[in-house]
Amino acid sequence: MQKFIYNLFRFSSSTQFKLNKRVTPIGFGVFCCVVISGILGIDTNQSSTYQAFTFLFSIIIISLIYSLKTSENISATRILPKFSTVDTKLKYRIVIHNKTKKTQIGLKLSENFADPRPNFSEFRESFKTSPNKFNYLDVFFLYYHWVWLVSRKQCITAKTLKLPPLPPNSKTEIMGEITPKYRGVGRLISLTIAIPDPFGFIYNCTTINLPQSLLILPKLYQLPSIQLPGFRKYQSGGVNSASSVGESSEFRSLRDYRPGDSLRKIHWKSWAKTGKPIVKEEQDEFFVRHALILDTFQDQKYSEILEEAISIAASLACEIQTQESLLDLMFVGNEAYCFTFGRGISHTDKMLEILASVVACQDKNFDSIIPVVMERISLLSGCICIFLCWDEDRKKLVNYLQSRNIHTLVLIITDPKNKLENFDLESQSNQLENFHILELGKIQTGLMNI
Amino acid sequence: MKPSLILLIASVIFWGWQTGILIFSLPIALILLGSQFLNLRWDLSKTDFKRIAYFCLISLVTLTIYLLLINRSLYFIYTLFQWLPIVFFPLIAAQIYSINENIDILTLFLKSNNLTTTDKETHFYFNFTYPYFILCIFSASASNIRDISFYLGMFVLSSLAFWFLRPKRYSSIIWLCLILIAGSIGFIGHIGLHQLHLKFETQFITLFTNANGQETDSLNKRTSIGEIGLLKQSNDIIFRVASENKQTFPLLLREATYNIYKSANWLATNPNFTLVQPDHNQTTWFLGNQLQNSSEIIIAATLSGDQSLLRLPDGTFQIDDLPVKKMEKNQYGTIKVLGDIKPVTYKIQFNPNLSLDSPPTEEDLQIANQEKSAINQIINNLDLQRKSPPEILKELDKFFQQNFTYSLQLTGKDKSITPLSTFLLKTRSGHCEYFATATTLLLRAVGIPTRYAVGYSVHEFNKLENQYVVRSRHAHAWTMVYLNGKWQAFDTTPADWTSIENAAVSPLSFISDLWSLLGFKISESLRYIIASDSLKYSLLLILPIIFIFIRRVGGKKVVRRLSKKEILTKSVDKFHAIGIDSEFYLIEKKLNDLGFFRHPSESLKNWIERLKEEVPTLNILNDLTVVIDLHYRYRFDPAGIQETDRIKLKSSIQVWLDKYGSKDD
Repeated sequence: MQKFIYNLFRFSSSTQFKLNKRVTPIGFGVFCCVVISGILGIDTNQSSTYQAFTFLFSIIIISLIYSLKTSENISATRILPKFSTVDTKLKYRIVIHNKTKKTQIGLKLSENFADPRPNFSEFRESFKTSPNKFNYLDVFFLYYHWVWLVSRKQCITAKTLKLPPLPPNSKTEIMGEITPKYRGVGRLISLTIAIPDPFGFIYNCTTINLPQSLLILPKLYQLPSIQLPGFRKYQSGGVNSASSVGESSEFRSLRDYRPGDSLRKIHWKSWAKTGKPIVKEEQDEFFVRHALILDTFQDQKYSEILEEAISIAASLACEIQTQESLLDLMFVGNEAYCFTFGRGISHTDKMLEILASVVACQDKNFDSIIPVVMERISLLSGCICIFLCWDEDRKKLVNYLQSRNIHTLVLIITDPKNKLENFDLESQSNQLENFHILELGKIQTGLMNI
Repeated sequence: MKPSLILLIASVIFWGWQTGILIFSLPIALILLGSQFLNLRWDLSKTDFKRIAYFCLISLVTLTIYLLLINRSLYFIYTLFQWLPIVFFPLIAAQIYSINENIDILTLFLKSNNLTTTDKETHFYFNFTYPYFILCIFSASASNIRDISFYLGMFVLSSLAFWFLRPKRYSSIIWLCLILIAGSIGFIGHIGLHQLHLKFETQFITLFTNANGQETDSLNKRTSIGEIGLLKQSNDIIFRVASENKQTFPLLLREATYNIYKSANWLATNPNFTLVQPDHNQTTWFLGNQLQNSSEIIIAATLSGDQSLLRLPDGTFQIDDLPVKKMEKNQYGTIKVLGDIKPVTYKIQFNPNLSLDSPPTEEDLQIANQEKSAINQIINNLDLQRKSPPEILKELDKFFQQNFTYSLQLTGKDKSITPLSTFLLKTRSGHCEYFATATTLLLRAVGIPTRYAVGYSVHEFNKLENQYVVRSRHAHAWTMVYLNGKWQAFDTTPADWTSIENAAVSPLSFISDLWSLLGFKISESLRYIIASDSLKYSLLLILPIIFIFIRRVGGKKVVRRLSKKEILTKSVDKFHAIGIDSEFYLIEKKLNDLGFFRHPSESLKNWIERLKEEVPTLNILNDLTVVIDLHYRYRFDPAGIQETDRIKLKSSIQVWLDKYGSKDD
């Protein structure tokens, strides 16, 4: 049954896609008229509607035959940026080269995306973990879900463009428009140039292969200037190695050897010159280092809460002044990750790129993030936790951070429909910890109150 | 005037002409045309549109119910279609006379509280001009005028619509050729389609009547004698019989009588149909003189259209409550009626002792030569010739009951002898047609005039309905014997034939019976409603309900403003008139042809400057700045420009065009 429904949706999706590509709105109208006149005219003795049926039917057949003729020689190139942000319309350039000897009028151009239809396992899984209970007979709900799933996988939509008249043997530049709808990677595979038949019912389509992809960065919120609590901490090895392991030094001066100094710090050239052991003295680095812990643990593959959490993380990453401090982004995807940014180590863009590709962690427990946090805990001066829910595991992490005297800002994103149970905001907040609950739909307001 | 409005008006007139209701269509066309001359537009809100849509919907429902009650067949849909343009006229008029060119389609469906949402994505603006145009064409087609006028009108109007909507990519000649080809194919196609339909219908009807024997021909009855296979008969209930006196059942209802048997066909020779005149109420028909000692049955059946045969018991002298246009009766007692396809319930008064059929003729004693040998063999075996007629009947009945079995299995025929002879001498098994034919011919051989009768046996009492039901498989054949100066029914088919047929029925047949009962009850109650005055009263009742409904939908603001907005067509024209003939537009066109397009928000000056920045090498733009200044003054300066400047503008544009225009061609 599931497989049947899946195949049905798959088939109807592709049919709809092909029809949308090939049939014009007028064509749809005429086709509907053919069907209606066919039904009404079924008894040719009772009405003359069958006469309208034969006329419309023959006109459709003619336009169908006309649309089969060979397509025109037109090529195109697309100039697409690498990134875009959710909900921000992206304008880009398309250069169309009309290689024919005549002016081309009335063409349309549309983008084709990589097949966004989910495979069967994805389809089944998305239902298994769906928060809404339903049965497989509820076809309308299923179809709605299917459409959502397709658009979620596709990430972007593009407007069909009416092309201006294309002069013969020349290139014309036009502006395309893409609307990123969801975070992720939008894959464009080709451009289709559609030429209408003389009646304007059916398009003859020429497809030009142009595979390109566009990374859709998460939506950004406006944040008030956040004063992250915390103090400078000694960062062994200096800035350069702050994110990596090993001893390298920020050279400050030379001094005499004192027992206990590492042999590796002996400056041999000076020893040779002065005849006594001289060692290099290093600058001790003290600066602020924050962790941004992003909770990705949930049952569903996609959820609004996770998207919001990622958006908030991205907004925070952009907002925090990383010239003077370091920021460790910690989350668990397929494995536990920790990326360090700030003080020239890496760039905010890089972090947004990473956040654009974050996926939900469905198969691991919240505990799997603990080792990453433990590894860095001695270096951290403050921590921001973005949680998707509030439970014992998360409470344990927060208590642990508290026990290590680390200032923590906890943001919990909730659905207004499912109120957090047993959570007392007042009692949880104290000097070290700062709790905020952000409701879906009121995230921006909530963030401004931090 | 907008092309869509011209089309709309033309289609409305076309609809009126085809349906013959120009009296409605001309005012509608005038009102639509008036929008061109009346410079007033109403600011109709979504709620107003919603009310109008509700009004249309109520009109549609009322009209549908009314037509359904009047017509009582699915064909009411064609009448309904003819009136639809009137039903939806308020909607199209509202659209044309409102300041909005489109209607939000959701306002027509959703509840009014959703209208306040300002979310842009939830609105689908829709122009109803073309749908109304299509509706007019379809409505015109429903009038079913069988000449060329509909096709021509439809072709011209549709072609005009397609012309306005066509892509400008192709030349008009190609388009015209193609539309003419389509028109010709459609024309030939529609004739072919109609012929095909007629052919199919004839084939289907023949097939259908052969299959279940509901439609009986009064002149010729083709029997299944000599066929091979299993006689399959439908279990459908075809009519119902009710009577207060159960003693009259089982009863044979005769449909037709024949007198000549020729190779498995029974024919009625020289049928002399005479008209039966109804009583003054047009529903009572007298077939004979009224008798005191009579029985009465009520038959509920559906007349099968143009000509159908009535199923009547022997000795019927009066039929009541039968609304048919014409009734004819032949000398064999077959009664043909002419009426519409509709369910009827009629009352029959009869006396089995009465015989109204014509006295026997020579044909009633004729036996086909090829059957004679078998017939004579049986007669000799039974030694019938020496017996009196009542004894013969008794002997024959005994003969068939004892030596023959009833079977639906058709055994076919031997090559050497006829199927009937095979039945009599070899197989001794068959269905009622065999028995009736054999009996008829055997009796003729001994000098007793007989006829072959077909009809239905009424024997199944349905407790649920509390009346007798007659199914298609209850169709029966028997012999009419002329004895003691009158025609009597004589049935030699073994009495167990009914049980054998019942055994062949699917156990799930009660479902179809229930379905049939439901349909019967609905049509009966509909008939009752129409017959009684309750319809008039209920219509009176519906009106206040509709009024209340409109009040409810209308909400609190029943009386509200209708702000009128004057269209500024004249002043706009004046605005356009000055400088509209400036030659600069030629330059703009030329640049457009070269692929340089002006954004709608861009002024000419900005446009040229943008082009200069984008394509610095384009020297054709150099001279344009001065020309634009002049053009601006000519176009927008309220005082206008002097004659010399006008000439200067004209000549400089001409110079530009000469310089660059021809070069790029």
